[in-house]
Amino acid sequence: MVNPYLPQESIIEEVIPETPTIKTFVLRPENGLKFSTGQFIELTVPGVGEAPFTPSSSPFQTEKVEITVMDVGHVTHRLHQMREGDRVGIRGPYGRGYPLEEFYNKEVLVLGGGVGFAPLRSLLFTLLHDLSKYKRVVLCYGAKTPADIVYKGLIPQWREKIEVLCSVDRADETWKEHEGVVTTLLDKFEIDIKNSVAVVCGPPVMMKFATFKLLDLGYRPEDIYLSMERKMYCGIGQCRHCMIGGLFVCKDGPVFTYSQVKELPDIWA
Amino acid sequence: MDKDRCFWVGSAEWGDFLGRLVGEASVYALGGEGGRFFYRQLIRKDIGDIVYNPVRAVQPLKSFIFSPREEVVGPSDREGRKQTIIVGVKACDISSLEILDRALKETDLPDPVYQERRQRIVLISSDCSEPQETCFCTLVGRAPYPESGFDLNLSKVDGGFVVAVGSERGAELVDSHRSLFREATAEEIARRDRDRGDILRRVDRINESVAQKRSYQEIVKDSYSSELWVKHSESCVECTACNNICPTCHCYLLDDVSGAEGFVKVRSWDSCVHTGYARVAGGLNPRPHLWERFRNRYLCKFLYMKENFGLLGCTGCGRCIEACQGKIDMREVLQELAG
Ligand SMILES: Cc1cc2nc3c(=O)[nH]c(=O)nc-3n(C[C@H](O)[C@H](O)[C@H](O)COP(=O)(O)OP(=O)(O)OC[C@H]3O[C@@H](n4cnc5c(N)ncnc54)[C@H](O)[C@@H]3O)c2cc1C
Ligand code: SF4
Ligand code: SF4
Ligand code: FES
Repeated sequence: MVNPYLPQESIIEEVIPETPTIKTFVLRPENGLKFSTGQFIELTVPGVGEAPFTPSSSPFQTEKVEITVMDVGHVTHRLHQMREGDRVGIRGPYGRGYPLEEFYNKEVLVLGGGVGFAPLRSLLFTLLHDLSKYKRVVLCYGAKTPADIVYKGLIPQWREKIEVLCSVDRADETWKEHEGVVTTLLDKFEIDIKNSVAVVCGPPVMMKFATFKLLDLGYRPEDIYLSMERKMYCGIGQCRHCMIGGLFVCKDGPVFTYSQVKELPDIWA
Repeated sequence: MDKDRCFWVGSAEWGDFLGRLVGEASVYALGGEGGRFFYRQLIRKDIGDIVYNPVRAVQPLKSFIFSPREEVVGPSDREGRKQTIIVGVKACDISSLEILDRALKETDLPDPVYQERRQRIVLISSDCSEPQETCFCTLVGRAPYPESGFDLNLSKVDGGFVVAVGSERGAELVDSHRSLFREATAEEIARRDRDRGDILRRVDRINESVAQKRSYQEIVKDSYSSELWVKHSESCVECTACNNICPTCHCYLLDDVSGAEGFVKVRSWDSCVHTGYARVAGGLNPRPHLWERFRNRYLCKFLYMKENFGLLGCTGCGRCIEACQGKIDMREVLQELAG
C-alpha cells in the first residue's frame, strides 16, 4: 500500500537569501521530482511540521526542486535556520498546475506580489522554454520596498526576452522604476484584453484588488487565473482544511479561474 | 452462498455463534442501560447482556477506524491484526461509513491506516427499536434500519433474529456456522418488515413538529446570508463536541513527532468550530467569527459533502444535539432558517 503521508528524503543543496525574510532553498529529492508548473509540494521539516509550497524552479529540471519561502511561522522559521546538507522531506506534487494550453497564442499577463512571485517564476521558466507558443508575455511584479524584491538577478535576464515592469509600494533613492501598488502598473501599457489571460499570485489583498482591476479593464472572469491560498495539512483532499465552499484548494486547485470561485464564500480571506 | 439472503437464528444459537467468534476475532457489542449504550469489547460471559436493538451507541462508529490521534507514518507495524467484529451497529452509523469511505478510502490516494482498519471491520448491524427524541434519520432520507453496507443485519423476531446477509464476508460467516442458522420464512420476513414500518413511523412522529417540506440542502443553500446564524450560535461555547461526536466529521491535522528517528507523522481530529481551524500564518482567517464557523458545519454537512461525495453529510443520528453544551438542536435551527 503506498503511504501518501510518507515524505521523500531530500537534501538541502543550497540556501539563497532573497530578502531579509525570504530565502530560496534548492532541494535534491532522493528520487527527483516531476511536477507541472503551478502544482505544489508538502515540505516536512523533520520533527517540526509540514507546510505547502509551490516550486519556484523549472519543471524541466527534475533532479532538483527549488522553493522560495517567507519566514512567517513555526515551520517556515525552522526552515530558515536550516543549512546546506540538512535533511527535509517532500510529498507531492499535488493539485493542478497552470493549464498552459489555454495560454497558447495569447498575450499572457503575469501579475505577482511579494513571495507570490515563487510559483510565477516557475511559470515564467516554463513560458520562456518555448516562448513561440505565446503571443506575448508581460510580467508585472510588485514588492513593498526595493529590499523586498526577490530574484533580483533574474529580472535583467528576463528583460531581454519579455516585457518586465516592476513597482514598489515605497521607493527609496536607489529606485528608478514605478512607485505604487502593483495594480497601478496595469495603466502603463496596452494589452489586447480580448486575446489575453492574466495570471495572478500574491497576498490575498493584492489578489483581490488585482482581480477587480482586471475585471474593470475588461478581462473576463474565466481569463483570470488565481492561486488560491488556504490552510493545508494533507494536500490530498481529505483533511478539509483548505476548502473554499465545496472545492478543495489542494485537489481542485490551487490555481482557479475567477469564474470558478467568484460565487463562493470568503474567497479573499 | 449468495448475499442478500435471509436466515433465522434463535437467541441461544446466536449466543453460541458469538461465543465462537470471540475466540477468533476482537468482538465489540453494545451494552448499557437507560438509553445510553456503549460499544464494549465482548467476553464470553457477557454475551447474554448484549443489547441488540434499542438505539445507536453513544460513541460514533468512526472511533474504530479513524482514531482521535494516531501515527500514519512511523515505525508501528499493522500486519497480522485480527478482524474486528462490531455487533449492534445502527443504520445511521452504517450510513456514516459510506461518507468516510468516500472521503478517505475511495480516493486517488487513500489513507492507509483507515483502509487497513476498514477492511478488518465486520459489521453486524441491527434494526432500531427505541428511537430517542434526538433521532431524525428519516428527515435526512434514511431509515432506522440498515438496507445495505452491513455484513450481517439482525432484526429481532420472536425468540431470535432474522439475519440478513449483506456481503460475501457475511455469507461466509453464516456458512461456516451453518448448522446454527436456518432459512427465514416468508412470515418472519413479513413480520420484520411490519416492525420496521412501525419504527419508521415512530421516528417520523418524534420529528413531526420540525419536519420541513424543502430539503435541508436547499434550506442551507438559501440561508447563507441569513442573520439567524448569529442568533443560533449565541449559546455555542466552542466546545467542538458536535464535530468530535459526529460520525461523519473527519477533519484532521498532521503533526510531526519531535525527536523521532526518520519521519513520524501523527494525524489527529480537528474541528471547524475552532478559531484556529482555517487561520493561516500571519493571522488571516476566512471565518474569524464564531457564527461563521458555526454556519460552516451546516454548510459542510448539507452542501459541501453532498457536492463532494454525492451524499448528505448528516445521518440524523442526533449525537450533536445530545452533546451540545449550548443546547442547540440542529433540527430547530434548520426549521427557523426555513422560515
Ligand atoms: C498551495 C500553496 C502554496 C504556497 N506556496 C508558498 C511559497 O511558494 N512560498 C511561501 O513562502 N509560502 C507559500 N505558501 C504559504 C505557506 O504554506 C505558509 O506560509 C506556511 O504554511 C506557514 O507555515 P508555518 O508553520 O511557518 O506557520 P504557522 O502559522 O506556524 O502554521 C502552522 C501550520 O498551519 C498550516 N498553514 C499555516 N499557514 C498556512 C498557509 N498560508 N497556507 C497553507 N497552510 C498554512 C501549515 O500546515 C503550517 O505548518 C503556500 C501556501 C499554499 C496553500
Ligand atoms: S468541516 Fe467541520 S463539519 Fe465538516 S467534517 Fe470538518 S469538522 Fe466536520
Ligand atoms: S456542541 Fe454545541 S456548544 Fe459545542 S461547539 Fe458544537 S454547537 Fe457549539
Ligand atoms: S489540504 Fe487537506 S483537504 Fe486540502
